Amino acid sequence: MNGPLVVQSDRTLLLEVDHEQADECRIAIAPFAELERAPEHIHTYRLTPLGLWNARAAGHDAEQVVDVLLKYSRYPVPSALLVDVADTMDRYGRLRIEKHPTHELVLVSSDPAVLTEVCRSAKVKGLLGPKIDAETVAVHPSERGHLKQVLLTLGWPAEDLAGYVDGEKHPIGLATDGWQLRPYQAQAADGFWAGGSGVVVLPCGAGKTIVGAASMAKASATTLILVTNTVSARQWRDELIRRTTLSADEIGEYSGSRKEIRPVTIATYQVITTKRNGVHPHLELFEARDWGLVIYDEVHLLPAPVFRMTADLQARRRLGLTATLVREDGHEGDVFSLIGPKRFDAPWKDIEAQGWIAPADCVEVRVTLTEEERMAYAMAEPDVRYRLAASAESKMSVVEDLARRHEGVPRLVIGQYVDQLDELAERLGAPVIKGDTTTRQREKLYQAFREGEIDLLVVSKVANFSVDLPSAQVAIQVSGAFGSRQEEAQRLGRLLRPQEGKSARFYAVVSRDTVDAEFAQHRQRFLAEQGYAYRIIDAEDVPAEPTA
Amino acid sequence: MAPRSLSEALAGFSTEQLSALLALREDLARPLPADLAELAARAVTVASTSRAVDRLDAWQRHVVLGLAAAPDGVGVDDLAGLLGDVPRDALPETLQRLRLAALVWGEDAELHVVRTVREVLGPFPAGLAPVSPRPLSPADVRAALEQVGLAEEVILDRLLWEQPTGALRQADRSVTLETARNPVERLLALGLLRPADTDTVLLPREVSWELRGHRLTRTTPTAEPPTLTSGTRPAGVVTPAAVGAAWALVHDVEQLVDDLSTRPCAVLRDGGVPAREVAARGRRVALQPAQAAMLLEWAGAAGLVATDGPRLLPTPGYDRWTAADGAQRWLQLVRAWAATPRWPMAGAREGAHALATDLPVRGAAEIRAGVLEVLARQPVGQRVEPDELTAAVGWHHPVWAERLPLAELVGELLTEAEQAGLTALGAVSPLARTALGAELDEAVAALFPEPIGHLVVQADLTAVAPGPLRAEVAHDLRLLAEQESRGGGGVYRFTERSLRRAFDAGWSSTEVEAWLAEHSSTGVPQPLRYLLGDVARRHGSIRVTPTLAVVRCDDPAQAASLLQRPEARALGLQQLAPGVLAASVEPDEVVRALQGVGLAPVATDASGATLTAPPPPRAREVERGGGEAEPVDARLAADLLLDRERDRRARAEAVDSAVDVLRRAAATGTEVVVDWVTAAGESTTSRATPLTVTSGAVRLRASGQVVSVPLARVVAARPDGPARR
Repeated sequence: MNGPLVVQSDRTLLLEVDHEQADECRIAIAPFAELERAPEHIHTYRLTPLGLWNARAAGHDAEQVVDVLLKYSRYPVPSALLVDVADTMDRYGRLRIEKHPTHELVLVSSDPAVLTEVCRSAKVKGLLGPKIDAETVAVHPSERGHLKQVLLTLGWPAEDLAGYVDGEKHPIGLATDGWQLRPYQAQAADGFWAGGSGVVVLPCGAGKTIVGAASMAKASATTLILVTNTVSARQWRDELIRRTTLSADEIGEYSGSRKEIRPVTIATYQVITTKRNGVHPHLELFEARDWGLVIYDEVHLLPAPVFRMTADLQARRRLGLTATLVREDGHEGDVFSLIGPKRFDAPWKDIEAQGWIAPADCVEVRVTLTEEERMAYAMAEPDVRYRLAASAESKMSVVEDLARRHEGVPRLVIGQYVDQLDELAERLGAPVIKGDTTTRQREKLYQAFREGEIDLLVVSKVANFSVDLPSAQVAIQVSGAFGSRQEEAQRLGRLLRPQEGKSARFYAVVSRDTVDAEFAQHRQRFLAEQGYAYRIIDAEDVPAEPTA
Repeated sequence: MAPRSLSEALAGFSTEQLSALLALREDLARPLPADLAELAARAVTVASTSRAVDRLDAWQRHVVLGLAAAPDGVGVDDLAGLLGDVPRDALPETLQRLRLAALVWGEDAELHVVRTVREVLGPFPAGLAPVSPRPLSPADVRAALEQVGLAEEVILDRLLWEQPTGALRQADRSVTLETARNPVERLLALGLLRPADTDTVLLPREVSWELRGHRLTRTTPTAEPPTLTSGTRPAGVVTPAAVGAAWALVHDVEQLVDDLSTRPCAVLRDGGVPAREVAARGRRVALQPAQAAMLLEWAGAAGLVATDGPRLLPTPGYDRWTAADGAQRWLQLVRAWAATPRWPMAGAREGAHALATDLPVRGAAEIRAGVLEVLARQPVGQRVEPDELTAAVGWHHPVWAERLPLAELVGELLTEAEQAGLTALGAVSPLARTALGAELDEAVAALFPEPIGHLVVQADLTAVAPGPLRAEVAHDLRLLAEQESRGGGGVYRFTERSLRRAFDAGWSSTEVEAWLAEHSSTGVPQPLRYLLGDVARRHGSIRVTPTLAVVRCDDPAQAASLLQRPEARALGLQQLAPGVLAASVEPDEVVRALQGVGLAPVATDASGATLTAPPPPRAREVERGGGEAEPVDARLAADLLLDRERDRRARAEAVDSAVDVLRRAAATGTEVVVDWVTAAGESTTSRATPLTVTSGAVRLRASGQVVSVPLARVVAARPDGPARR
């Protein structure tokens, strides 16, 4: 017994990555354990009910999971944990939602006790119809999604075998001229299609849009695509025109400024969730066509109202795309029950190792504040301290030094405070994109940046989500919003674009001995957990920084 | 020759048989009787007999019931007829076992059950009345039974299995079928009931026998214990899972007890730990409240924790325990558990207090041993269903099945057994038999993880122990870092707070680095070095000295910020010099206040030396157990008893023969040598002529004087001649 895995009684798995069996073990546990942290030596995976049910949905059974744990574990695994794994997995699929010739939709179980337990719960009131026999209960078709949510909270997730409507046919093909689906993208699309509905987890830059396009080609039906914002909507449109047989006329944009409904319609979360006089005026979108496929981009950001609407869309195929299943709001269960189980997952580092993503080198630059700044900081009220520390004047010259140090490669300066960004833009002589920059202006600047006309751009946090900046190689973060994990993932995502033979650099400039440094510690933890090299240097050492 | 009484039967016991008796009925050997007569007398006391009957298994009890229900002196064939459908071959062995237990004596042809057994079993053993003076023939009974209706059947049913008598005024009234006015009278008229006395009716034995279909009891127990039949699991899966659970137990107990070092726990007046405390402590080490309560009980049983005044603390025994290797630690826990007179799961029940002094389950250790014995007899991998196990335990101990909520107790024990690895995945593990004292198999012991001393330290500021840590390493690491994940290994995180805690406890930055360098197999990652530097730099940059107190800041900006705070007024802080503040309250209050606002002050004594934390508190060790008596060595006791018996007989014979010698000598007037004890208690030997021998004394003439010696003081007498010794 000398396996690479230490199974902890708190349901975490510690994988020693330098162990000779580490790779096969990683592949074996990936279907049912969620990677939580991936620092340099020991990766932490976690066993959760959702993870185990995802594995069940993918066709793995408890026996396999137990075998894998026993096979790779370095120490004897406590029986309580094995029993718990088996019991948990056994709960998935005891209840099934199926089609019924006369009752349309039914909840079926071969275990009458479970069915009875569920039917007696107050939570299912109004979701279930009459009992047909000991093993079958009618389901109100409109409550299919809601029922699945409730069953998940009761601990008896239902397997949805009721199938999907085909939707309105519309020919879509992949235009593979000069490019090809990468193997993992094809696998992801196949996995989704075989499962019917569900979520594909791919890191930023791994080509989620292309997985979406490939899935659309499989469905060859009218498609509704929900994205986070307008810029992202336009990028989807451009990408679809480039990668598929769709023409610009077939793709509509449904956003704040335009309300087009076409065979392929791209809508933003924002417009859908807009409320007027207490109602959502744009709900019609979901009914506007007989959609054959609904794609949710950045599913980890899906706002609550969209969940509610999705509950009513259970008869349509749904594809969720995301870089992470972890939601800051803890609504992972809703993703599972309403969009579907995870259908494909590839660890970041693996895709990176395949050469699709450039590795990033993370550097924290510590700036010592001047006496005056320290005094001002010490005297400040707690609620303004972060701002004071994050936008300290001393940071300016350091950012300038860093920008100069990497002269000639595409650089981004990222910050939270508009004043600070404006000042930096002026000192660096670079254009700035912030909240009040028009969409047209943004697109123009991004385009110029992408084409190499400008190599330095100052951006505020509006640039965080779903914006393609394919050639940025150095990012300098001068201030950030309280070290949120989401934000870090997004920001790092800016840099993770394939670039032959070059490594990206991520600088975070922080004020020493302030709350800014404390937040930097969260960031450090997150990045190190993601497996990125992390260094700390003093501002005085910037001139010694290697440039490549 | 067949014995005529229990005493005679016991007198004929060999050493082996006697030691078997004392092994079966330990109470008889405690204290050891003076002789066999006393043994026989004690064996038939109600207390001892009832205890012996209670310890019979279901089959033996069935046989004893049959004997008690049968007339005295029953033959084995008639007995078999009474017992119902039972394997005849099993009887001789069972009867021999009952003879050895001194509950039955006599040959197979004429068996006697000890009188007190009948007393213990009540006047109607198995609910059967004694043999009727004028019994109806079976044909008569059947004919009479054909005439009864539903109402009569209800009455007969009520008298059938337990109590065959019922109260009835004027039970001896004379009724005939014609004059009968109610069901009871009809039954009396039919002879299916008969008056026992004026106020009682009785279901005659022969009627009952027909009604119950010639069965002694409702269900006839099997002669062999019931077997578990729920299938098996491969030993190759069960064994590692069991060791995994066993190790988790050791680990969980350690976590729970170690936590008491830093946070001693207040106990209630009943000696128990408040449920809220148990839940909170369990949460800290990721245990359910019930689990935590159970483990506290285990720790208490093993002497790892004890109350010291109003607090529950680890004992020095805990420190020794943590230093032992994994398998030994487990064994110590499990053996202590097996022997404890407490019932740990009682402390885990709703509304109970773990470690409270009351003992809600009497005979806990005995019940536990009874269940563990059944488990230990199973092959490794045998699956255990609670119901089946309860049935098996109930067969061995029918009294428990009758008087205790046995199913519940067995369920609770199974929970503990699974937790401790005695069963794993619901199947019996090779560890089960070690709980009752069997040696731990070496191959199994080898599965217990070997404690390690190295860590993997990573850039995300975690230290991962890829296995169980040696106690001293774990102890240091828990000071230096916060534990985040528990189990086979451990994940610890270095934080500013944890490092500050280490500095507060007297560690220096160099010591921490040296410790890390010694124990980290991956060096000290750069971010950790930075963190350490940061904390070291800030730690102690504020010093407090009593004047009442002086606050010194190495950094004037910090002093300024201190003065700026609202707390400054409460402390009476004022600046003495750049970076030096005076306080008008006691230093500890100052320290607390500064810590409260997120600073890292260091408390110093008057000479300026840094105060470090005292060693962790420990409770005095207490003697454990004591409730349970030492087991009896039956063989030794039997030998001793037979020795005593021989001594007694020899003494009796010696006196008898001395009196004979004196009588003969008195009759013939010859001189004899008499050994006797004077009134002063001195042994003396005289040459004397006995004159008369009465029932109590002898008159002797010696050296011309006549003395009267009580016979009790005569040790020996022999015809005149040379002394024998």
